[in-house]
Amino acid sequence: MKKPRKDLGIPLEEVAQIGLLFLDGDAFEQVLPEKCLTYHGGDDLDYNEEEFNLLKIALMKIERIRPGISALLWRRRPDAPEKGEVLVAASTINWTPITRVADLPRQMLKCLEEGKPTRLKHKDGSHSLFSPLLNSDAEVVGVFELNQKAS
Amino acid sequence: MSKKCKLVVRSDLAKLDGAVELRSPRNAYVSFEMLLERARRAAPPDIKFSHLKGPSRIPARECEAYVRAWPEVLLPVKELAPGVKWEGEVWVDIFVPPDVEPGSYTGSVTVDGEKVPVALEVVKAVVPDKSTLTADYNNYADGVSRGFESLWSDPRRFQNGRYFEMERKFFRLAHEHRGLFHLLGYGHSGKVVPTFAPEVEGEGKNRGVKSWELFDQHFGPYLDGSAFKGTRRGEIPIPYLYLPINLDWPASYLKWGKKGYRTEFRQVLAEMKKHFAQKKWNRTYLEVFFNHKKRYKYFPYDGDETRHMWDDKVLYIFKELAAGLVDSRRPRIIFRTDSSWAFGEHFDSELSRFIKLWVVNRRIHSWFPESVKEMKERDCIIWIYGAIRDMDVHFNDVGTFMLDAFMRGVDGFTYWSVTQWKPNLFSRKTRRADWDVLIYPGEAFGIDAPLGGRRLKGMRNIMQLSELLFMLADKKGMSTAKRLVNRITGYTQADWWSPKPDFVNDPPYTWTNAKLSDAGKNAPRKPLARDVFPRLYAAVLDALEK
Repeated sequence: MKKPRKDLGIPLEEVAQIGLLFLDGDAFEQVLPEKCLTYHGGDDLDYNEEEFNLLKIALMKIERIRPGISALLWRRRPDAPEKGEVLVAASTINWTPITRVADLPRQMLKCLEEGKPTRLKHKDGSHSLFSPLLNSDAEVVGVFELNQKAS
Repeated sequence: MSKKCKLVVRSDLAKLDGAVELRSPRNAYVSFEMLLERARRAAPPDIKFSHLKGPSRIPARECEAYVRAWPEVLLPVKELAPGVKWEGEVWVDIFVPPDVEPGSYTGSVTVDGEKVPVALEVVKAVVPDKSTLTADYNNYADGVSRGFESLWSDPRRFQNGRYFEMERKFFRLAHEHRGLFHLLGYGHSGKVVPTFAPEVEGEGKNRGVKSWELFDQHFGPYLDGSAFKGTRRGEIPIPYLYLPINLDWPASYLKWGKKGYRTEFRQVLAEMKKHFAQKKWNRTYLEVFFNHKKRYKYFPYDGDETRHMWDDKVLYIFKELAAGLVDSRRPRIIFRTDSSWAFGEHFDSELSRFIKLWVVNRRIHSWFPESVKEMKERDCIIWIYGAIRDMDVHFNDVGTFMLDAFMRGVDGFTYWSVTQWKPNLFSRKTRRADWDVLIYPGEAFGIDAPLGGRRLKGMRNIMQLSELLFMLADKKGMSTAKRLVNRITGYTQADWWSPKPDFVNDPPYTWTNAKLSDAGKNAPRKPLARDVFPRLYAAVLDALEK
């Protein structure tokens, strides 16, 4: 589990493909307890720790494949489908605050709706690869973001 | 009275009604304010002090003048550059040394050629260098650098000494103002800011400290007190220090729940304990505190202000992980927690048997007067915390934190974030929510240092008052000291507490913010009179002199 000593030059798409092998969409569906599916305030948020830890640790390992990336999982809000939020983060991103429920970028909506990876370049110089996260029924249940910080 | 210079009554702890007549204990600051008629001046005022003469002499160098810039920042006149706008108010501090003879002193301050007489009565009491109550000025790294563009843009600031030099000024400023600059060195993700932890290397059984060099350079002077050389309170080590320990340091969260997590955590913590012992850093409480909140999406537990009771499990996990390493034996590595929602469940639980330092929401604490005795019997240290929400010129908003702590019998109070600088910091559109700043970046005024505001200086004097209250309690009993406070404030002992709201026995995760807000409105305390602190100061000095 050591960090790579040097950049192995693995492209972001390949990191995403490797990552998706280890990210469990069913666990992601269960990461929030029922009572929190439409939570509002920050202190109302609660998690199912087992599912959270499974996903968090997978994200942390994925970040070790390539230097300078952040790995996060987003969900669409069931009570406001045009909005979404990060639910599990290995480390931070700078292009948007991860505590906020916000309008999802068009590229992320496309990823959710078409089930295909999309890319987005951000004003902070970083860029993101959004990949659909599937459950065991092959339904898209979230978005796996890999954010590459500006070099 | 001079046409150019008019004294105002609204100031600090001295009664000013036409002449500067002051009264002060020794080893203490006494302050007054002058309002110059021509408001919003651009030219620095010309201010000169005479020596104060009496049974002995208080040299003019013990007098310092500041001018106020918007909103309340005080700029040292000696460092004021031409063209810097200020508001026409002059704040004067006189430090009364510990070794002067008690008695009447006279001297003067000359402002732009106009001489104003100053009379000072020095009483026998000597304010101790150490504080009995802790005035905790909480902050988050690397907030210090953000206020100084050239520092913030220097990626080598932690290695080249520039960061340490600037941060040291913040610690010294807080120390001189009888407070603790308290700086959490990691973020919600668990990432530690450089030099806030020793450099570690390896994994699992090979995990260990690679180098103490920068950590020691950073914190050593605070832990042995040498950082405070030349201050009037002297070289007192800081009483509390956040350690960098968190869910992702020194053990990687990647190993959470596995034996390697325990191995990494214990090995590094044991090395830290040994290192602190070798350095003889024995006078500081070294805090293990989990500031993580679920809302930041990095961890599934709230370590700070737990609301869902099951999150407390993480505190019990660390109790077991740290067995034999976290305790009150010197060097004193202790657990700390911040408690609000669940305080009613916490204070008499198993948690208060192993968590030493409790930082408790001031309002929620007020519902549980019974908690103090219980927690004191368990040897807990209790601070109450809150945010400052008022630019009150009489210091009642900031000052009641001290009175609440004293009257409730707890050990200190925390202002949760005194360097939370927003972009509109010096704008006249500053919002109430931004008023909890007590320390300002001087860069906007061409000063490469932090600057205190009026309220920081007011709080310093109020902390002096707290020491006088403890002296009175030692001399005449705590009940006498508390009766005096109640007489001056017009409160009863019950007014320092609040009735328990109806929902207090429901699980905290069922409470709503609306309920909490309503609970605050149920039993509002009557506001303190504007002159309550000057009157209390005078009354305590009278009582000590009798």
